[in-house]
Amino acid sequence: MNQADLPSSQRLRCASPNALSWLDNYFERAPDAWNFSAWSNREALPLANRETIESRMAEIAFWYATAQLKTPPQLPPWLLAVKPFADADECLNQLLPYANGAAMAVFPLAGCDGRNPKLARLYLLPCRLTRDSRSRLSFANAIPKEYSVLIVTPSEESSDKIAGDSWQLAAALAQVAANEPALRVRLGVDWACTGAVNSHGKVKPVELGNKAALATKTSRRWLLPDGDNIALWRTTAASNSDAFGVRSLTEAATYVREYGVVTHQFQFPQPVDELHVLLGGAITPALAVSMQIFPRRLCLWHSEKTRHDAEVMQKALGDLMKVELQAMPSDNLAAIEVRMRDRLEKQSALTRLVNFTGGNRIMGFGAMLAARHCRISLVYRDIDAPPDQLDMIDFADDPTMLPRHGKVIGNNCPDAWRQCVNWEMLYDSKTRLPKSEPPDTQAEVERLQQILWQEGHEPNDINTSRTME
Amino acid sequence: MKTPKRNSQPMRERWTRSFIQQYLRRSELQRLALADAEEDEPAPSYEVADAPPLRPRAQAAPHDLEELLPGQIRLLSQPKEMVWLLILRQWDSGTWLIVPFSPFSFPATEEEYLLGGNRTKYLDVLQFWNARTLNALFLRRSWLVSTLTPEEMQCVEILFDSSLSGDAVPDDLLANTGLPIVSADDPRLDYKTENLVRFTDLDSADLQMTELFSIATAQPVANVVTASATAKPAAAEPQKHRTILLPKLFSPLPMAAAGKNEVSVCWTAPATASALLAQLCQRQGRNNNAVKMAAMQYATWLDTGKLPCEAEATPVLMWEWPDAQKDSKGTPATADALFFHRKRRTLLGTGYALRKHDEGTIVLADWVVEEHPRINSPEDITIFLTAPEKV
Repeated sequence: MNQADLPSSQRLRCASPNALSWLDNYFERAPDAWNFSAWSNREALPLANRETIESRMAEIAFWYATAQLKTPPQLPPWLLAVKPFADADECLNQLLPYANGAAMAVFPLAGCDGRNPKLARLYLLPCRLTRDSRSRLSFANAIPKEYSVLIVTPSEESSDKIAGDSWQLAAALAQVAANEPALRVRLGVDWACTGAVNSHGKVKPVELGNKAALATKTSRRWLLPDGDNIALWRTTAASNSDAFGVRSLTEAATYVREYGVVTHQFQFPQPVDELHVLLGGAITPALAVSMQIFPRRLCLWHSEKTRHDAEVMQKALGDLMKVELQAMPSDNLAAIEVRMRDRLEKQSALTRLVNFTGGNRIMGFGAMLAARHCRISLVYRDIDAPPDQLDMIDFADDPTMLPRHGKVIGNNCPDAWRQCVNWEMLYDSKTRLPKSEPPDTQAEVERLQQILWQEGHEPNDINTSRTME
Repeated sequence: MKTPKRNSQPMRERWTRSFIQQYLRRSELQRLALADAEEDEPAPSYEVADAPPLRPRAQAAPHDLEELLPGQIRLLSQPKEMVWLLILRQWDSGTWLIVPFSPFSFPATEEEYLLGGNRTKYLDVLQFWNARTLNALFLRRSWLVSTLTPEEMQCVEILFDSSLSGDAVPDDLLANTGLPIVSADDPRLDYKTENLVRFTDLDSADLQMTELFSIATAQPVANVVTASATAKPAAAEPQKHRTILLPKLFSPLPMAAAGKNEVSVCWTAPATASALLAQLCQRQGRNNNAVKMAAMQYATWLDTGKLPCEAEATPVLMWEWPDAQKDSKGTPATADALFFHRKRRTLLGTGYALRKHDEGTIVLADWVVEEHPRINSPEDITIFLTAPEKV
């Protein structure tokens, strides 16, 4: 038996009294190649709790149809006549036609009076059934009238009323997934969410109770209201729990859509005390980012091969900013990381930034490791990026967690210089600095300045005013 | 159990009278049958040396190893006589509280209860005075006959609890019991003695098993080397190489097997669980440094949920039975099973292996410890499949 296969009726009987929890585990896995013929022998099913087990099997079949957008193959005829949901009168056969437009989301139920918290499943079906779970929900008017909502809670609490409005985020996300089938498996299998949602799609805080205890019981990621709820969760839930604070339904849906890696809204870094730039074969992109960030000190990391380029760039920049040259190997990851870490840690009080657009891959990777260690943000200029746009990555929250990634647009170059810089040439991916053979530093400095400045050289009036200053 | 005189009294007198009549009649019939047998001439002896061995006309149905549940009526396989019993509740780790049925259809004493239920006459009366605990390893080797309704089970629970606490029994339930024994020459005392005898051998085996469990759960068993029981002596050297030495019982998985799958080492022993435990619980010495095993395999763990890392977690655990013995007729093959913690070498629980419809499963069904060492992976469990216990 493959671990993803459905257990046979016989094995479920062997697993009794844990058969129901075994079946519940299947909601934590993607419904890929489930073979429902494993359940053809109804008589072999566990004797204990058989009715609930049959309902759970029918629910699994319904979930398969919802997620895979097709009727489960080889469904045993007896299963079609089973009612999957305690709150609805319809049997599986009657519900299957609605599976195409349905979705499921998981939300936690806090345990009252010493009871453990549990995960509940919420189904949204695009039809009005004669009976559904609305009567068990508080604030159920948030559910659109054209939908039916069905909730599956642990058997012993199946008829209990669900207090509070923390189920609303699950319902709202289920509605998103109902209209976006690609989202259904991810939402149903990978996430658990809690939060209230107002009519404008804002996610509002809820009572967490003892829900955080569930973090160790499931491998699902968590969506919680941003602010106090997520802060409390991080202090009470297990440290390895992946939890994300969300402010709006759109943000929550984006988390589910993008597997939890969402674009972070960074502020353009300004002012920057120190910019560390990896220098590879192309000087102009390195020069472009240096001018755009315009740090107080520029640290050019070069290899033996690019030492000459570093010197050319240093001379081309002249007195615009302090330039420091730092050598690093281009083929030793550990040495790159250690050397860069040592340098970065020396100036920990300054605002620092690492630009890893240039350099080879080992240099880039080493720089990333060093930046992660020192909690320093990284910037990268994509070859096709529009003017003044940079990709920004940081590990500011926690170096063991996923990096935050986002795009920033801005330019720190002082106005006097900014107007004189030939940004079009600098940002153009086709711009190349012609190399002299044999190397002629002075000629290359002049050529680089021709690329950098609109007039082909640093404007005299700026030089004059700077001298006066 | 308090038995105040109430409206139920006439009914109880009637049951008791009927029981005594039935018992005396049967005793008399048994006595006559025994006397006839003694008077009969001895049976002629036949030459049977060349006759083919006797074969059973029909094969016994497989035991219902799966799912022990309160309320089940089961027929035990071990006693010589047919013994039906009711599973009342789980008593302790790996043991169940059972209440035997009386062979008579009327309650004999105040500690017997006429269940009725129109099943059959020998499933009418429960002997609460004969209630006992039984190890799951024995209890699973039985056949499921019927199940009590929830209402019947409720009555039985009330009666049993009253017998423990001494609380008054509701009159409607009391009406279905007999009267207490007050005289030393009451024939019902003989009946009780006869019925206790039915369990003598099983009780003795159960006690021995419990003692072995308490040793094997408390201290590490011997990590002896194993010898293949199937190895045949070479023709030229009949006395040498009678056994082939295999690895120690609790060796870690070899590198080739580790990490490939979530597997446990699974030994098949050509002995019963009690015999194997007795061997393993002996101190490792000169003469007992090898235990015979038929085979060693790797059983793949079936992911029914999280492994029980916490000491108190005792869920049912299951493995694929890699090479279940299956006869040509396709009848289910079964084995009893012992489960040890590999590193601690202490007993964790018992269970069974079962093959049905070409699907073999090993099940850790009954934990014999309330708290167990941490189990991080299936490799931490070593399985022994054994022959069914005999009494």
